[in-house]
Amino acid sequence: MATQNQVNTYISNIKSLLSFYGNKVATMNQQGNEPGFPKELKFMLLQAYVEIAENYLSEWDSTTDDNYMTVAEFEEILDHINAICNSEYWLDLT
Amino acid sequence: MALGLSLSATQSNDATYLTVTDATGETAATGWGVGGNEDYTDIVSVALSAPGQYLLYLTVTVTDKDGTETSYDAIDLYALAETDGTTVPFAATTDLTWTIDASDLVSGTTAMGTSSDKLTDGIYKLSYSLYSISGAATVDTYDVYHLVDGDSTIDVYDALRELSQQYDNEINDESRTIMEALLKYTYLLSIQKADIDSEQSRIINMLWTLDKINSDSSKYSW
Repeated sequence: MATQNQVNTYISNIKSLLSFYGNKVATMNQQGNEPGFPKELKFMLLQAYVEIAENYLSEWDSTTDDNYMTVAEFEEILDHINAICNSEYWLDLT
Repeated sequence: MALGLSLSATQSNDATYLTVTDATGETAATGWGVGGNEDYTDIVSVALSAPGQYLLYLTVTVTDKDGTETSYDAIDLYALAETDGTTVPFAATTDLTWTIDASDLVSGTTAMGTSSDKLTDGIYKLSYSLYSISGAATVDTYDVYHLVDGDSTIDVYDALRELSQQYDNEINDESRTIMEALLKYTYLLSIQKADIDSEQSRIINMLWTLDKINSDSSKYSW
């Protein structure tokens, strides 16, 4: 099961992913190479998933079951982040 | 200086309870027991009441997404602590924290729900008051508003979670599903960032609309 340090590192990593992705979209815009609707949409979704992850993990407690969703459902949020960013960050919360 | 009560509240992520915590303290001039102020060690329940002692109450009024206001019966916080297994009589300020679930919110004979039900989304006015038994009067009351949006939050998070992860196909074929989820998320953020003291009618209006979009989807063709 993930330690608090691993949780903190994960949050730091996905926030870094968000800024990396945002910078990529911004750079494409600045260079006149419009990123296109889908990439902008994925950027918006990524922001939402990063916030959900932060909110969920801020209240995560392996001994209670009073969070927004189950651990299995939360893992789908991690999957979304990895699918958008083509990354492989993961947390073992069980 | 007289006692000046204060209270803070947080909602659980699963939307089933509020944690309310006394924030009066015991160091400032308005704190518990400071300079002859009333002390939390003298608080009792209605059942135990005796002259020279005090009753501590929480009264909750909920304005739901339809704008309907429901006032719930005053909660005897000593009795609630006793029921929940918290230390009583209160011996430290750390004892002054309570969990309020839907079964604690009773209007007449009707509770908002069971202890495992989600709290109704809305604006909760929490009135925290100390009553003097011998003086037969309220010593002080502190009112604070708190947004409860857990039910809506869970619905929005579910809508985002349930999107297909095959983004490129999804975006080409079913952008509406994504746009609906993002619209819900935008409403949620707007509700959460609104000022609870000065923008209550806007919050209620957005909660109502978000609820409609969650249940019926928006009217946009996207």
